[in-house]
Amino acid sequence: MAILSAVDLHKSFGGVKAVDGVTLEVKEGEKLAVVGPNGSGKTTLINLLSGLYPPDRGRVFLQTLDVTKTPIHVRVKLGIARSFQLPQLFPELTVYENVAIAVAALRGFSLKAVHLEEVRSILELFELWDKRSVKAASLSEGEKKILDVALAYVSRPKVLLLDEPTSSVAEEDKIPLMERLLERLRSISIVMVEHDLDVVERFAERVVAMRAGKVVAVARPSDVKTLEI
Amino acid sequence: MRGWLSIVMLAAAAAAAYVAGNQYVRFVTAYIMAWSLAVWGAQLLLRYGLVNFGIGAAYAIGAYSAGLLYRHFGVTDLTIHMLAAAAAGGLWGLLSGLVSTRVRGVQYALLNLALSMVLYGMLLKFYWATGGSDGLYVPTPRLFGTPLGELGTYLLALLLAAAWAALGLVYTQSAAARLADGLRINELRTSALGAHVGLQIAAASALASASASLGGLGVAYVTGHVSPQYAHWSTSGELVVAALLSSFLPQPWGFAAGASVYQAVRLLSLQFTTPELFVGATLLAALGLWRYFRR
Ligand SMILES: Nc1ncnc2c1ncn2[C@@H]1O[C@H](COP(=O)(O)OP(=O)(O)O)[C@@H](O)[C@H]1O
Ligand SMILES: [Mg+2]
Repeated sequence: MAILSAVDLHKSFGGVKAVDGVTLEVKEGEKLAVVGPNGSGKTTLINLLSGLYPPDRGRVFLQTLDVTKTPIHVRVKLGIARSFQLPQLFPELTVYENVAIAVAALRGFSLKAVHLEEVRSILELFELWDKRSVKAASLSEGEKKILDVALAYVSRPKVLLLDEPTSSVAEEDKIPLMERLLERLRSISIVMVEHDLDVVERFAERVVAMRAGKVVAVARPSDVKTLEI
Repeated sequence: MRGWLSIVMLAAAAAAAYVAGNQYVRFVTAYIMAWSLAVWGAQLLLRYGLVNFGIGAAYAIGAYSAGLLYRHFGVTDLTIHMLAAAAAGGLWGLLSGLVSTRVRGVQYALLNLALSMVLYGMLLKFYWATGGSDGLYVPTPRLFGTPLGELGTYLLALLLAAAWAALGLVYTQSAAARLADGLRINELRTSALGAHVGLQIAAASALASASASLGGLGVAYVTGHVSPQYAHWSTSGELVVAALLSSFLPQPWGFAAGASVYQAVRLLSLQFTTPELFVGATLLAALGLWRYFRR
């Protein structure tokens, strides 16, 4: 059964058709990779799926629920979370405070404190507890990527959308980084935008290739290097 | 624990000031304690990255609540005044917060300034209701039928300031304050983590305005009078400056300390032929010192 589906999504910026009629399904528990050259509309697709902005046309479903018009903060509570191509953190705050904001974000206007244990469990899961007092800005690039995913994971999503989780991480660190992440995210569905084909081959179960806003191929990871992209 | 202790200690110090001080000291201290509630409100919004140059509107609403209730209905009851001020101020904050959820930075400051000037204009224009530029007399309030008098009004201001210090302490450790930091630093990320930005800002705005409104009520009690000047943008400006000072001072009393520093400078400035020059020069010196010591 599909956990997340996109039906004929369209999004243009000025004259640029960033996403041009994309239809796809993410199956329950699936790890789906989205590949394609720069500017092919991968980030825009993630933005439409996560609800950062609405599509010009088309629909987004979470299981059978139509979430096309649902704002991003409500989609998070329904089970769709995301990370960003450039990690979106709170740089001048500590790692601990970053996660505390993510915990607080799921509440209303609450005068109750954020419980230490809630923050600790996330930081321990992602092996960031030892860095809790470090400012997010001082983390290594890889750690920033992990913290960005950890923040998204606080809502215990059903689907996690990862926009280039290994970009700006050194070549030799990409595979270990993904191992560290995916080991913790085994049970949930993941859509990952990824440039590195070794990473795709190793961690994805199915690959969607995009070009100029369109899905041009759906392939098995083992075939990804033969795709013309 | 230290925060709570400091609240008790400073409240005791303020009580001692009443006993030891002359009438002028009592007046100024009560004024500052009441005024500091409005500074608290402006400081709360600063945490969200919102500089509200219209906070004076809420401050005026509290003072006029008492003035209008007395003039038109003869109501002098403290509880009714406070409930009216908190409700009217909170409602103003909620509505102005909702109106300004989509604007930030300079636009937010100007939009709220404009809203406050609309209120200022109305207070001037509807003379029959508001007394126009003369303003309104605000009687000493009664609690259970007994007039508060000088001591009672002083104690009221003290209790309010101490209660708001406590509220600030609770707020600082709350989930709402974490979100305020999130919204100030990276609003996009905070909403992508599940925060309802509009709700958070509207709630903070309602709380800030209710505080400012109660502050205005307290100042009106201390001075016995309210005028449209309460809603003037220069009043908002003074509150914002005091709130900015407050954010550099130790919490949970920062708001009262900032209010004291600002009002002390303002009162001192009255000794000079050009008070504005003195206030301006002092603020510049404070800024210079702060930058020097922060390095
Ligand atoms: N917010 C935006 N405003 C204007 N143009 C945009 C915006 N976002 C994306 N685009 C354009 O849409 C196209 C697809 O961009 P994007 O989705 O970021 O591609 P990818 O992530 O595959 O590199 C590009 O031509 C890009 O310039
Ligand atoms: Mg991209």
